Amino acid sequence: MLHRLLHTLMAAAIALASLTACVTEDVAPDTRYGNFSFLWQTLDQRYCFFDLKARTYGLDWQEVHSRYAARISEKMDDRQLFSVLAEMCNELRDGHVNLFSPFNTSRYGAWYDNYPANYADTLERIYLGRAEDHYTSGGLKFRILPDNVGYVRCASFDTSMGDGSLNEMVRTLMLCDGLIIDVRSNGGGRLTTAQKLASLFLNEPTVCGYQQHKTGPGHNDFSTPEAVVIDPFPGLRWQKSVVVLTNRRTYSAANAFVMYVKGLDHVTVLGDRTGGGAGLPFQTDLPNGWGIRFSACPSYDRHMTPTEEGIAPDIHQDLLDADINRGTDTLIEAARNLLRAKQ
Amino acid sequence: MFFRPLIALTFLSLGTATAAAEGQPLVSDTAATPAITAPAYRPVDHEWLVGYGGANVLDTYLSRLEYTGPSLSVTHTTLRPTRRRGDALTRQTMLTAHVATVHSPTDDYDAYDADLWAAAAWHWRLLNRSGVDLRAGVMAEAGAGFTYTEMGGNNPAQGRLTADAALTLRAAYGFRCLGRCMTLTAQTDVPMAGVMFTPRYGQSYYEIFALGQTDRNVRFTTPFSAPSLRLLSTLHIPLGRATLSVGYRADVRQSNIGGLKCHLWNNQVMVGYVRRVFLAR
Repeated sequence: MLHRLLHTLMAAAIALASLTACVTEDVAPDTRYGNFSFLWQTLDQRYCFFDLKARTYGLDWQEVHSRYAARISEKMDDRQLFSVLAEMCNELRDGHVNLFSPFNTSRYGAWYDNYPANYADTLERIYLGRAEDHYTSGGLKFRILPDNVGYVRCASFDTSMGDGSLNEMVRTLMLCDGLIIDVRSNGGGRLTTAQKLASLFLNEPTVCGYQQHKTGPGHNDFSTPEAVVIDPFPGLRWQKSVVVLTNRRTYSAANAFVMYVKGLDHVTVLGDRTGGGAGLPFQTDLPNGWGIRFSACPSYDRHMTPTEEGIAPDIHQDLLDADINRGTDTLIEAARNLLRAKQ
Repeated sequence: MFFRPLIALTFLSLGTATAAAEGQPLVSDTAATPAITAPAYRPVDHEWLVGYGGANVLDTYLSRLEYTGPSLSVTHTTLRPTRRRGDALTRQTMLTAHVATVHSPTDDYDAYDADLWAAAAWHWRLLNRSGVDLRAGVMAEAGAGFTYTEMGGNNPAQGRLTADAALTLRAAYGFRCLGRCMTLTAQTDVPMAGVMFTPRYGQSYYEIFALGQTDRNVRFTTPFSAPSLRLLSTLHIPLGRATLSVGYRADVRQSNIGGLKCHLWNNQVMVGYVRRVFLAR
C-alpha cells in the first residue's frame, strides 16, 4: 500500500517537474538595437513616474520608442549609441536616471542648471569659520552664530548619523534661540539618515509621508501606499524654532528630509524649491555591460502629494550675486531674522 | 547555454529512476546489496563531500541577465536505519554550504552567491534485489542564502529564505570491480510544496526592513511556481579502511513568483569520503 502510494507520488512529481522545467528570461541580444530595446523595456516595466510625467509635461513613452528606434543603427560606435540612449533617458527628466558606461555617465541636470544656485561655498566658509571655529560630528558641521542662533550645515546624508553624535550636537546648541538646518546642495544619500535627523524635531510618532512600489510591469501597477511613520529621537525633542534652508540641488534623501519636516508647527522651509528625486532608485545592467539607474519606488508627502518635482518653500528667498560679493548669505540672514522675529 | 542540456539530463534522470521504481531489476544478482543492516548495532554513514563546478544565476530583481562563474560547496550527509523499522526505513540528514562568484555576460559586474541548506529525509525501501536498493520517501528542507551584486543602488542584493517538503528517490547499486566492493548511489529530491520569502516586483529592502512594510513577502511555492530539483550521484570506492566518494551534483533551484524570475543552477563534481560509525544501543 505504502509502496504504491510512493510510486504514485513520484510519478506525479516527475510529471510536474517535466511540465514546469526551466525558468529563464528572454532578453534582447547584445546588438545596438538589442541594447536599445532592452533599455527601453526595462524602463517601461520598472520606472515608476510615467503617469506623473505624462500629466506634468506630456511624456509618451511609446512615442519615445518610435522616435529613438529610428535613430539606432548597427553601424553606430559605442559613443554614438551612448549619446542616443542617454538622450532617451533624459526624456524622463529625472535626476535619478543615469546610464553608466566605461567612458561616461549620463545625467539629467536641467532640474538645477536652469535655476539659480542659491548657495556658495565661499559663504559657507565665512559663516562656519575656520576649521577650529566649528564642530564636526556625525557628518554635520555646526556652530553658534553671534546672535545665538545655531547653524547646522548638512551637506550629505551619505553616511549614517549616530545617536551619540546627534545627542552631542543638540547638547552643544541647546541654549540657542533657534536652529538653522542648511540642506542646500545636499544631493541625498540614506533615507534612514534623513529620518534620524528629522526625528529630532518630532514630539510623537508622526506620519511624515507615504511610500509605495511597483507590483508588476504595467505603468500603473503599484502597491497600496504605506505610511512612513517616524518616531521621535529617543530622549531628545527640539522644541524651539527651526528654519530649513533649501535650493534646487536639495535632492533625493535631502528632498525627503524637507518632506518629513515641512508642515511641523515650529519648522519653516526657506529658500528655493527643492530638486525632487522622490523615486527610490534601483540599478541594473544591459546586455553590453552598461548600467542603468532609475526611479523605482515613489514617495509622497503626508498629503499624498508627489514630491518628484520638488517641494516649494514656505518662504522663497534667492541668493543674489551682489550678496555673494558682499560676503552675505541672504538665506542665512533671512533665517536669522525670522528666528529673531519668532522669539 | 551550457547548463540547459544538463538540466534536461537531470529531469530525464527522474524518468530513469521511475522505471526502477516500477520493480524492474536493473542488474544481475552478483552485486552485493548495500549494507545497512543489524539494528542491534546501527550503522551510521557520515559522508563529507566537497564540490566544485559552475553556477548560473538569474534573479530579475537584480538583473535580467544570467550571471555565470565557478562555485564551491561542502556537504555533510548522514544515513542511518531507523530504530523501529530498521533497514526498511532509513533517515538521512543533509547540510550543504555553497558559495559562488559569478560574472555578468560581459564581465563588467560581479556577484556573490551563497546558500546554506539543511534537510532531513526518510526513505522507505521499495526494492532490494539483484544488488539494487531502491527507496522513496519524503524530505523536509530549509535554506537561507543571498546574491549580492556590485552594481549598487537600492537593490544591490537579494535574500532568500525557503522551506519546503520534497519527494525523494534514492537508489544504490552494489557491485564488485577490481576486486573491491563498490557502491553507486543516486538521489533525486523534488520540492512539492513550501514557502519562500521574496520581495515584490519593485519593492525595496528599505521598505521591508527600515519601514517594516511587508507586502505578501512570504509566498507559497509549488512545482509550477518554483520548479526545482537536486540530483546527487556518487560512487563509493573502498580504499584501505576509508571509503572514497566521487560524484556529480546538479542543483536546480528556480522560482517564478510575482513577476520575479530566479534560477540558481549548479553543476558540480564532488569528491569526499564516507565514514561508517556503529551505534551500539
